[in-house]
Amino acid sequence: MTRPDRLILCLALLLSAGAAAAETASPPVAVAPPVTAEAAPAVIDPQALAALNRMAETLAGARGFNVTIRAAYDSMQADGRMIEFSERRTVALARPDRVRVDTQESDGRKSSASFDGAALTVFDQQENVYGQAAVNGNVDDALRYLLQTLNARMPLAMLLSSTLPADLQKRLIGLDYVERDMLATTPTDHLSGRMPEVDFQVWLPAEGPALPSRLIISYRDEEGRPQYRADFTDWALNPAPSAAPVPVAPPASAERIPFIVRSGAQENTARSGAQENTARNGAQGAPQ
Amino acid sequence: MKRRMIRDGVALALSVLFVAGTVCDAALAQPAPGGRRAAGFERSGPAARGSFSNPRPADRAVNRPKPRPKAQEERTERTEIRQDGRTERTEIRQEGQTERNANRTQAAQNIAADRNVHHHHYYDDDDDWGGVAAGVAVGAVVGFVAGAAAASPPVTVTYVTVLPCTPTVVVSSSVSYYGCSGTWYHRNYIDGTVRYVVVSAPPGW
Repeated sequence: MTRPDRLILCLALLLSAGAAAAETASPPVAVAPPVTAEAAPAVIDPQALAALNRMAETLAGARGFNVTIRAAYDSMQADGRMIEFSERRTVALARPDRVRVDTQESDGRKSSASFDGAALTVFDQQENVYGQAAVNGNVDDALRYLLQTLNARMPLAMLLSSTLPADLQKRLIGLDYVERDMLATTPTDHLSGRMPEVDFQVWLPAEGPALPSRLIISYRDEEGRPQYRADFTDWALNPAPSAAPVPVAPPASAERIPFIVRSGAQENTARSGAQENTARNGAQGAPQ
Repeated sequence: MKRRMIRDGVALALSVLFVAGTVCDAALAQPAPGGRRAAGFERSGPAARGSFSNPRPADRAVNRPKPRPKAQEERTERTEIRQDGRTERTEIRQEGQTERNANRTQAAQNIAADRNVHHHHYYDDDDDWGGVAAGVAVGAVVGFVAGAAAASPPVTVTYVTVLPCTPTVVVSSSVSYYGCSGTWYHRNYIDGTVRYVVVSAPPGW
């Protein structure tokens, strides 16, 4: 055997041995199943939960608050593009039965919604029309009517509810403490939570009133995993009674138009006392 | 000389085409009343609700809008609704009329062909703080006017989100009617947004 032959033989033997060793040492690779909300263990970090509860109790226990929300949300288009739209909302809440939300969308459209303890009013400034319905109850009842019966938009409505701590507890299936964000104006605790249908992140100040500075909701089961992202500014907790929200007063030129309610809405929301009362009293949805 | 004439002729033809195109675009564009939103972009979707829940309608496999069903299919999908006690004013036409309405709204449906008719399945949860994913741009929905008697007979309402023309506006009994090629509309709140619902012509039209 010549020297080159021996070299080739050695190389071949080494390669064969290496392959055999690799085969022996590498067990079949098991592909881990994707982690889903159902499969993931319910891990709730105590420190994160304490911070979240502090936020919930602060908001739910407040006599009222004012806040400005600058929000953006993703909308999947028919051609597969994800487009971001934004809006600014100013919220004024005075419990038990006063709330007003003024909205300006990124295309300039302005609208308002208010509840004064007896009537729920929504006003579209661009169209110069308004709708009004009689609702008996408190802010929680009015918001439920707006969302579940009228099927209107009111992003982050749960944050306005007096039952926020219980609502969060009911939905929360996971919560982690991500980090202390030192880039914010004040040190901020960044939490990541999971609910049955959405994931969320919230940023809460490490000290002082636990009022969120940022919130992101991710719709993980939707195509493209769209998000709703909100930045909170101008918080005013328990403002003076004189600063109570003023009900929406449409101009005299505005036309009153009816609310059309999908038939399924009343069936499913009839359990609400406020809504039943509304139906009995006759919501004033029709034009004058 | 001949080459120059050809060049001038081509330039003139292109200029005419450009001007004609601009005029046509201006004539065809029908902005939403009061709005400056670009046509064809859908602002709705699950994330627009900003809710901590995301009830998924049974017929919505994905968020992406589906091709609009044919009129016949659409009719079969419509759910029953109860007629408003005050529909005398809105004069919402009933089932037979909705067949004609479906045809009449075809122009508007073409404008928003990338949009879809969704059917709403309300989340069976009293603590739902998000309502239902909307996103309807053109369709037949509906229900009853808030506060109407529950025993009212069923009726179907056809609506569009954008009028298909520059409308003829008629005010009758303090209610505005918007006319487009023989079809008349009233404004109503549907899913918290102002929609144009097909109605009978105003008195005298």
